[in-house]
Order: sequence, then structure tokens, then C-alpha cells
Amino acid sequence: MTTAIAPPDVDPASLAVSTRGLRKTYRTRHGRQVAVQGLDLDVPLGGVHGFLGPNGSGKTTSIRMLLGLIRADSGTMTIFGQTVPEALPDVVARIGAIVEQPKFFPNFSARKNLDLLAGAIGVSASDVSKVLEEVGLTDRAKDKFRTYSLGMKQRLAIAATLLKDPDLLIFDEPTNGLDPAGIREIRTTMRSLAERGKTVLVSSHILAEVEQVADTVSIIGRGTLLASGRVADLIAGTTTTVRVGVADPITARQVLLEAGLTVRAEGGLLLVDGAANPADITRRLAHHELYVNELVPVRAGLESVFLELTAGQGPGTHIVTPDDAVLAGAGPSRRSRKGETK
Amino acid sequence: MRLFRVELTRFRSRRINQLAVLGILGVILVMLYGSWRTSVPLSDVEKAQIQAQYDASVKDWDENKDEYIASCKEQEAADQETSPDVDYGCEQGGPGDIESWMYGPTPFAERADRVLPDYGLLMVFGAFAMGVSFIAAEFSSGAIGNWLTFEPRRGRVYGTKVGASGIAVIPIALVTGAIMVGGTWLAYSLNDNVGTMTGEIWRDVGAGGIRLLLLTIGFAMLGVAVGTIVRHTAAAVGILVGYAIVVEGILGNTFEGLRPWLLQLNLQAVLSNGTSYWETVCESGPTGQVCHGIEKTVSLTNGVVTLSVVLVVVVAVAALVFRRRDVN
Repeated sequence: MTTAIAPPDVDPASLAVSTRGLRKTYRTRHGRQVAVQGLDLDVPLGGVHGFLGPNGSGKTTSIRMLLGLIRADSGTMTIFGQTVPEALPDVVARIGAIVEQPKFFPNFSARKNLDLLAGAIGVSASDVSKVLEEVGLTDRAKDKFRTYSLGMKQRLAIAATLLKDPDLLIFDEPTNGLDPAGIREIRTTMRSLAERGKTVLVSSHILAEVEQVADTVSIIGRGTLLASGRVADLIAGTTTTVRVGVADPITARQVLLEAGLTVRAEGGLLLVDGAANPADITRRLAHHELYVNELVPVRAGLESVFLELTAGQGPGTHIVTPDDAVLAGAGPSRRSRKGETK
Repeated sequence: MRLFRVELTRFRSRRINQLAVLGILGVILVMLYGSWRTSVPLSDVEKAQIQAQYDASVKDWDENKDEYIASCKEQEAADQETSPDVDYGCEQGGPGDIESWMYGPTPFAERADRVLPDYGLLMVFGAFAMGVSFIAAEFSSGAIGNWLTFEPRRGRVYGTKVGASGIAVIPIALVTGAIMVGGTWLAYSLNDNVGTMTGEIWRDVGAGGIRLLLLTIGFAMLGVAVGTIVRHTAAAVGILVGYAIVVEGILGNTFEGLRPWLLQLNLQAVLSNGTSYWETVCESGPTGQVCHGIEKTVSLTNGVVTLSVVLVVVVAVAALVFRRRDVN
């Protein structure tokens, strides 16, 4: 058994998953493409840990490497303190995972699919019935997998992960294609697993969902870690933005810029960053006989943190340009900042 | 053992394997019908026709014997100029006995050892296809990735799949083989054309059955190995067809020295306890280049060794590929 390699301020024994310098490249027609570039990831024991990043940032690749499905080019990985993939056979009984789409034999029934997996790990038929009941698929257990809706397929995948009664559950985009009821069900399942003492690592694009359910998050971009820590800590570090409505936004913007504030235009409104107290804004504008008709503090969320960190890091990310009228500097940089772990 | 049992269960549960077995049984039924048709003895009308043809041939020989012998000797002399050993047996010509004309269908006893080899290629190909689809389905559905999150030891996973496919085809080979032999015997029995069955004949049939069983096991395992490398059933079948056309057909006919080492002859050698083929040999002579055919043999041993080497190499390469390749 090898001990986990962790930065001095992180106790390896408190980590379910840890990676250091993880790297993976793929050969393409245009040369080598880096999927994961020196990723240092720490997932604390217990609770729900969100693993966020834009499309193509390396989340699924990282998860596949952890599970031994693909080979890392370099770097180290540990799960429950054991180096993987070498010691994966020793810890796999404690891991349940869904990677991207649920994958089962389409022409076998749900029960048959689970029976095969259960047989492989020595789990009894009664446990198969139990997990099917837990995910609400008992009535459709005899139907072929290919007849299932996407939501049912996800539930079957969750049932499969529960067969082992694992300590670590890895969900890669578990809510893809689900309706709101399905999403809420997944969210409830993840929280209840965490409350039972399990560690849940969930990779997702749906930031609002992760914000509701995750205790800690890691944000990656272009295969490297951009930020990590408790959700509350990450959000607390964001700049407070105030939405201001005023009759003469052009003059008002000039006044606020001269006061050293960051001002962006959004439609006919102004978004003001860096004001210690919204009352300062009204006072400065009133001094120039400009009176506000709207003054609303905008609560920063995980989405703001995510977008700020991952700007220009991949498809679907927001790139800050001069057209956004950001003339002063942006909010404080969080690159490689590690928050406290639980 | 647990993993092995699960793989056996999955192999048996696959609908396509069940359909393949039904397909093999269907072809067997057609072959049995053909056996019944061809085992029908000569009718009285046919016998009368043959007798009339024989009588006419005897009369013709009696009338023109001298002329036929002289013509034969003239040709023999001409051919002896280039091939001194030529002997056409001109003095022994003639229609022969009536028994040699009244040839009915061969009795079952005289062709019993051919029954399994005749159907063997079908069984072997079926086993190969079942092995290929068994593993290829996991890759195409993505289930292999799910499976590896439960059992990450790839060597063990691969080994159980190869082993399970080899074991799973045993009952199929035994049952279909028994139906083939028993059914053919029955077809000949219905036409009262079994002949004299001896212990030696049944031993030969049994030995043929064992050879076919081993081939079936080997090709099922080969199918899993090929399926592991190419990951698609259609691609594997395409490779087999391409091999048959390019290697067996084109290369084998162009470079005849290769033929003893190619799959088809060696497969036949194992099925039939040895086989032969014709190789063309050309020599320069006073009248120019003269080519003639030489019959060569491929022994059972040659077949077993060649096919075993192919199996071991392909299974080993596939194991390496499976252990190292990323599973997406």
C-alpha cells in the first residue's frame, strides 16, 4: 500500500481521491492533444464533491483514468490512500461509478444486467432486488434495457453502483437528459448517500444543481485545476455586483468610473463591481444630480466563479472582451487557490 | 470461477447465439434431407437402362476391339516420346463387369467418416462468429467499461471470456454433431442403404467428432481474440472474407508453396485426418515446357500444429491489446 501524495496542508487520510500531476494526451491527425495537464485533485472523504469544468476540460478523462479505463501518461492517483490503477482491484469493491451514458447490454433485461454484475462480485439476487426497489425499477425489471427511457437508464446505472454498497460513488454527468423530477431525484440520492457517510464525486455542467448539493468543488479548465474548496468559500470571495437603473446611464457610468468602480453596461442598466456599500453608489450619483430608479445587489453564485475562472478555457465559456465595457481590472484571480477541506 | 460462470451465463443467454444454433440446426436439416435423397437406391427402371447401355457397350467392343486397341497403342507410343513411363493398358480395355456399371449411392458405412468433415466448416465458422459477437457486443454497447469498474483485472476478464466461449460451444458441437451423424444414418436406413457398420468405422467417426470438437473450441476462442482486436463483429467477418479472397485465393494460387501453411488446407487436414492438394510442376523438355500435377499431402499433425500456432499467437496479441488499450 502506498500513501497518498498530498500538499503539506492536506492530510492524506482525509482524502477519498487524490491526484498529482495527472497528464493525458491523445494522438490526433493534427498532432498530440492534451486532455489533462498536470491535474492536482483532492476529494475529501465524506460529502458531495463537485467536479466542474467546461466541455473538453478533462473531467471525464480524469475519471476514466481513476477507474483504470484509460492509461495516464504521467502523474499519480490514489483512492482511499491506495495507488491506482495498480491497487484498483483492492479498492474497486468500495467504488461505484457511472461514466457518461449508462452502459448495459441492450437486449438483456434490467434484472439480467444487474444479475450478471452481481454474479461477478458475489452479490446475491436479493441484493439485486433491493437496489432495483431503491431506484424504483422493480416493476420494469424484466423489460429490456433498450426499451428504457434515459431517466430509467440513469436509475439503473445508479442501482448498479449501489450493488457494491460502495464508500465512493463517482457520477459523471448524472442528470444529462433528465427532466426536473429526475434531476431532483438524483440530487436527493446524492445528498442521502453523503449523509450516510459516503463520498460522492459528481461531475456536472449544471452549476445550479451542483451548488445546491455539493459541499466542496474543484473547477478545472484545459486539464488543470483552477480552484478548489468549499462552495461557500469560493462564492464568498467573489466581487459583489450591484445592478443600477438610472435615467442617464452614460453620464452615470462616467461618474462611477471616475470614482474607481468597475462598470459594465447591460441593456439600459449598469452593473457595478467593487462597491463596498451600495449606498456609496446612490450618494455619488446624487451628488451629480443623477437619481437611481433601481438598485439591486446581485448575489454571486457558483456560476459567476465558474465563468470567471474558465473564461476562454473551452467551448461554451464566456470570453471577456472590451465590448463588455470592463475598463478597470476584473475580480480577484483565484487560479490555483485551494480552499479549506472539510 | 465466479466470473467464469457469469460469462458462461451471458454466452448462453445471448439471443444471437441462440439464433446461430437454430441456424446451424436448420442447415443440418437441409443436409440430412440431401443425404436421404442421395441415398435412394437404383430403381428397376434405372437398372434396366444401365443394363441396356452395358449390353450396347459390350456389343460395340466385340465388333471394334482391334481398332480401339490399335488406336490406343498409337497414342501411347506418341506420348512415350516425351514421357517414357506412360502405359495406357490398351490390352485391358473394354466395358468391364456389369457390377461396375450398376453403381448406386455409396452406403453409409463407406462414407460415415465424411459426415462430420462435410458439415465441420459450418460448425467452425459458427463458433468463430459466436466468439466474435460475444466480445464485440460489449465494446459496441460500452458495457465493457461498466464491467471493468466491477472487475478491473483485465487479464482475468479477458481470460474468462476466452475460456467461457470455448467451453460454451462444447454442448452445441456435441449435440449438432450427434444430430448430423445420427440423422445421416437414419436417412440411409430409411433407404436400406447403411451397409456393414463395424467398430472400426464407428471409431473413425468418433475420432472425427473429437477433432471437430477441438476445432470448434479453438475457433470460438479465436473469435473472441479477433473480436477483442477489432471490436466489431462486421469487421471481424470482413477480415475473414478478406483473408479467404486475398490470402487463400490470390496468394495461395500465386505462391503454391504457401498452401500447406494456410488455414483452409490445415482446417481440412484436421477435419479429415489429413488431406491432399495438387501442385503444378513444370519442366523443360525437348518439345518445350511440360507441366503436370503432383499430388501432395497435408498431414493431421501439420494441421494441428499450424492451427495451434495461429490460435496461440492471435490470443496472445489480443490479450496484450486488451490490457493496454484505453476503453472509452
